[in-house]
Amino acid sequence: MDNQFAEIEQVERWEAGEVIFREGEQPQGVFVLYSGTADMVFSARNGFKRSLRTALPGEILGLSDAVSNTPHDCTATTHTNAKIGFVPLDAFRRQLEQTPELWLTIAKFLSADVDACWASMRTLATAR
Amino acid sequence: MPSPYNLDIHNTCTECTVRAERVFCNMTQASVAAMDGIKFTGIYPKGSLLFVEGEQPRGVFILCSGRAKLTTSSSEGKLLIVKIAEPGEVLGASAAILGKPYEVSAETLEPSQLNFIKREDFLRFLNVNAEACMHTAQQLSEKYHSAQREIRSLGLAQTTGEKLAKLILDWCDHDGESTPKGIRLKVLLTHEEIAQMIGTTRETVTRLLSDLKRRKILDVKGSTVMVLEKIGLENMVSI
Repeated sequence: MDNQFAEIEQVERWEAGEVIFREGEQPQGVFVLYSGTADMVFSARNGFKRSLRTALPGEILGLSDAVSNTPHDCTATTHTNAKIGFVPLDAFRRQLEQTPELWLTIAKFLSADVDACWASMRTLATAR
Repeated sequence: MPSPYNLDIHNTCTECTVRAERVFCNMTQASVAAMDGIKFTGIYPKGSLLFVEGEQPRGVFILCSGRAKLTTSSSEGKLLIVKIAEPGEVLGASAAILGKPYEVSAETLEPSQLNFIKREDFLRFLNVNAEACMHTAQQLSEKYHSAQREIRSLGLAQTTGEKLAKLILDWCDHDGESTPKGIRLKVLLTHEEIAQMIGTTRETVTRLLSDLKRRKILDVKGSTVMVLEKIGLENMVSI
């Protein structure tokens, strides 16, 4: 993420298998995946769970939920050991208010997220 | 002089009567006036290809009226509809912003009015207008959530019947009209297009719809689908 968030970002090392956020929870902030990968796990009503997308370094997890203030639509879990920067939601929003130019950066990350989703759909549709 | 296809054409965004209902367009008068200066309004018949997957981004298309399908192809040439775009959506935004080829193709499903903005003009507009960036980000967020819902459906549904039932239920929630007989839907998609939305074949969709008719869960007359037993569809869905 841009240096504008460096002062309010808490960077930590996570071990593989740790839950970053859970499906259905309100967003607490955004998580910048600096290294490692994360599984995006979706759950069915009958309890069936499946990882349907893998987040790669450079992605910001929970960004769309923070922007739209909607509950997480999947559970994010570290697949490998990872280095993650956490920006709390109120600080994230305050930074956007103070530096509106950041919205362009947000739009770029969300554009990449949308493209990644469409790529996943392509894979899922052909996997039989 | 009648307008093409009898569409209610909005020539200037500042005078648009539905702007307030659209996430992207609902900006201040100044921002909208700036957008008026860089957009080109066009009327497109059904079946118009706006851009093709893999093409370098020329610009974005704001869908003022009508609908468009966004499709992507697998390496085997299988077509998947990733989204049916509704009025107010900005098509091609992610490609234009990232400077990467369009990830999807866009084709109008009915006569539509679209405002085209050249890529360089759109980026310049975003660079000087934080409000436009915010609205673009909000709309990309909606697209992301929509795609996540499709990923859930494609990845978790155990059967094609479940995917079809989920799709029809989503239509009921989004566009359904309650009547004494059930929920009425106007479905302008062909069986082939429905198949492309759920990653199956036309023959399977035809067979599944016939089965749902036989079980009196729904009735189909032309493009009108009457959902007689919504609970029947809900019982088929576990995702």
